[in-house]
Amino acid sequence: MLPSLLALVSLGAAALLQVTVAAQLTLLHGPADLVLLTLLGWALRRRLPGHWVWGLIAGLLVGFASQLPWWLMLAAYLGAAGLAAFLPRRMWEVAWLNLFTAVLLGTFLVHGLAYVYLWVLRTPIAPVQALNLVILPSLLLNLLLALPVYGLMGEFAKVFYPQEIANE
Amino acid sequence: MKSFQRRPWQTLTITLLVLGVLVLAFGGFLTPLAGLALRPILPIQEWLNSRFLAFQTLFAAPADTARLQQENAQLQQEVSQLQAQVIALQQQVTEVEILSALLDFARAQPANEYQAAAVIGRDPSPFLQYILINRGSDDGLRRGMPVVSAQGLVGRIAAVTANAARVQLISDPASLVDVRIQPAEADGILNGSVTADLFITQIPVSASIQPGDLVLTSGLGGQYPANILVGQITSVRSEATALFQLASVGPVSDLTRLEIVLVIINFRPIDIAPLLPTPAGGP
Repeated sequence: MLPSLLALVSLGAAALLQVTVAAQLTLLHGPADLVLLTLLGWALRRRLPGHWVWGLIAGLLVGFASQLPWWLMLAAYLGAAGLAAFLPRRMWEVAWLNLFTAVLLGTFLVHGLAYVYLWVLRTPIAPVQALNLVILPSLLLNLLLALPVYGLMGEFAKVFYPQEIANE
Repeated sequence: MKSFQRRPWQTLTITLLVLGVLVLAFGGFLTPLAGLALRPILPIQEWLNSRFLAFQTLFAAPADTARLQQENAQLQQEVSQLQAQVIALQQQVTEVEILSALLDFARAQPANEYQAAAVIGRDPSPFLQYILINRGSDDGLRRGMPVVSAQGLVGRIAAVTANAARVQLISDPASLVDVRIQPAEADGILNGSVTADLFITQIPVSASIQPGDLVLTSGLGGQYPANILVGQITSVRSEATALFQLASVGPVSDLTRLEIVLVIINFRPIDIAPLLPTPAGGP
C-alpha cells in the first residue's frame, strides 16, 4: 500500500511538472522525461518495494495526459520499470552505470514505441528528423537530469525506507 | 552710573564705536576681515569635529548596526512584497491584454459563440502538438469544435472530459486544415509537422502565390468555419514537373506561447466520411 501511495504522490508531481513545465522547455524539440527519471530513481534501487506498481502508475498517468493510447504508454513505462529491475541484478554493480544505461534504454523505449505507433497507425514522421530533433535531444536532457533526480528520489525513499537505502 | 557721570565722553565714544562696528558688521563690510581672521581656525575646527564624530561612531556603532540590520531586514521584506505585487500586477495586465484582444476578436465575428479557456498544459509526447485547456463538456465543449486565439486559428478539440479538453493544434503532424490563400483565391491543405512548422500542399500550379499572402480557412470539408485567419505565406516552392506547389506558412498565433484561447461552441463539424467513396466501390 505504501509503495503505491508514494508512487501516486511522486509520479503525480512529476507528471504535473512534465505537462506544465518540462513539455515546454525543450532542447530542439525534445523535452526531458521527468516521469521516466522519477520511475528509474525508485526502481533502480533493488531493495525498495513496488517496482512494477511504480511502472504501472507512471504508464497510466502519462497515458491519461497524452493523446497517445494509454496502453502504449503503459507498455513503455512498464518496460522501463522492467529494465530498472533487470539492470542492477544482471548488468552493472556500479549504481551510476545502471542509472545511465537505464536512462538511455528507457528513453529509446518510450520514444521508440511512440514513434512506431505513429508510423504505423497515424502520421509517419521521417526517422532522421525524429532521431535528431526529438529523441537525441530528449536523451541528452534526461542524462543531464538523471543524477539530480536519482539523488532526490534517494532522499525521498530514505524517509520511508531508511534501512533499505542504507543497505543499498 | 557713577562711572558714566565721571567720564561721560569716554563712555559715549565707546558706545558709538560699538554701534559703528555693529553697523559695519550687519552691512557686510567686515566679512572679508572676519574671513581673514577665521581662516587659520577653520581647519582646526574641522579636525576636531571629525575626531569627535569618529569617537561618537566608535561608541555608538554596535547599537546603530543592530538598528540598521533590523531596518535592512524590514526593507528587504518590503521589497520582496512589492516585487511579488509587481509580478502579480504584471500577470494581471498580461491577462487583461489577452482578454481584451480576445474580446475584440469575438466582437469582430458576432455570428460565433465563444467559450474562453485557459491553457493548462501540453501533451507529454514530443511527437504530438496538443494542448490541454480547463473547460470541458460541462461548459458545452464537444469534440471537433474549432479553437481560436485573438490572432487566428489554433486548432480543434480532440478529446473532452467533464472539466478539461485536449486541443489538437494546427501544427500537429496529423492535423489537416482546408485553407484558401488570398488574394490568389487558391485552395490547399494545411499540414503540421513534428517541428511545428506549417506548410500547405495541394496548391494548383496555376495559382500565383507570393510570400506575404494571407491564409484563411476555406470551410471545405466541414471541419472548420470559413474565413478564420491562419497565417501568412513565408515561402513558395514550385517545380516545373510537379502537379502542385508547396508553401510554408508562418502562423498568426504563437502556438508555443498560448495562454488563453476561445472555443467556438456554436460550430458543429460535419462528418463527411459516409459520403467519401470507398475503395471497394460501396454505397
